[in-house]
Amino acid sequence: MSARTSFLNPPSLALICGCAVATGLLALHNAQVAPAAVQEPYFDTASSEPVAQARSRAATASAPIARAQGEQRRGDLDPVEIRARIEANIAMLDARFASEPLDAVWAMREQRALDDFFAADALAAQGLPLPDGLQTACHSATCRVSARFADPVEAEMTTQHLAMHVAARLPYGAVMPRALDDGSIQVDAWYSAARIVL
Amino acid sequence: MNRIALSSAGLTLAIGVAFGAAPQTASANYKTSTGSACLAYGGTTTPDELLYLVNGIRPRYDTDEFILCNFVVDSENGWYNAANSATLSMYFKAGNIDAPVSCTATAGSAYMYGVLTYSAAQTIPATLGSTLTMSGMIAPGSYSWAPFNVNCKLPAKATLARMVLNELGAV
Repeated sequence: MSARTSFLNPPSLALICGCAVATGLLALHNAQVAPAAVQEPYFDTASSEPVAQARSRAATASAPIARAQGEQRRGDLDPVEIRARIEANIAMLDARFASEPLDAVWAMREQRALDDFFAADALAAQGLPLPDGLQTACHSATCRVSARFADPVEAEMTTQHLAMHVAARLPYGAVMPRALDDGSIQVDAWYSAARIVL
Repeated sequence: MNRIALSSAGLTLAIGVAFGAAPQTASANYKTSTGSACLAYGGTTTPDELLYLVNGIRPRYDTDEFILCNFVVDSENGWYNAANSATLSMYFKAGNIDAPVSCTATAGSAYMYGVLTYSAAQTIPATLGSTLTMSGMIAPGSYSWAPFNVNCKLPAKATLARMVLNELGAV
């Protein structure tokens, strides 16, 4: 070895290796924390799919949510598909409700709260209509409400007021409206003490 | 010399490992609004029955009123599970009487997949303030462009001062 110190001596090698490992770990960390900090057009004109959505779909490929290939998440669906999705949600919510055990005391108490809300004078006091075909049922954590309204505005206002009426004990709700052929709106709704996931 | 170099390497490595092992920061995306951004809602509340103030919104008279508040939500991803969801906090201030407030947040669209609602209610003692919180909110169908609104029953003398929507996770 010459008098000049070689940069390949053991201490230098250790320093270089340490720096290389640290750099690699930093790069890995940055990739995890900020995967998509790139400016780009919002829509990919080739596929007409939002680029951000495609990227996020790829990024969440391992997430528990099932994201069907090509499934439209942002634009409007056609009426047939909307109807199918609403009806699929209704079937799922009904299956859960049917499997929920019955607690007579709980059900009677919540049924009374629903009856209070749908009393004709109570509805009138809130400027709400009396719906047609009202049906209510309660089990042990969830109440199901089914009713028909003359138009979407009446349906929305009634279900929103109902949600606030039962907010203290049934904070979670799912509301599935369907337009009927005569222009009226059929609403199926579930209000629950337990979180509802769709 | 050797000891110094090795110490430097060790320190560098330790810093690298520390950064590499750092937990991934949960992204938080807060959107704040004053209550005066809300509108009159329902068949019994008109715009004239509300007072729109810098510090919030409250009934003009000694009556209970209903309001509807809309939120701007980004479209990065749908709210689809507990880790990628939204939390809404609403700060109310009671007047000189107790204020039984209730709110229902609605995620989703009746014209798409239906809606999920999240409600909260509490009675705020006279002259005091309190926050209603609705957490873990998701939208049906992971709908990325799901609109988001909240309805509240605003009792006499009570003010809705502030609303904070936090989109949690990569949404």
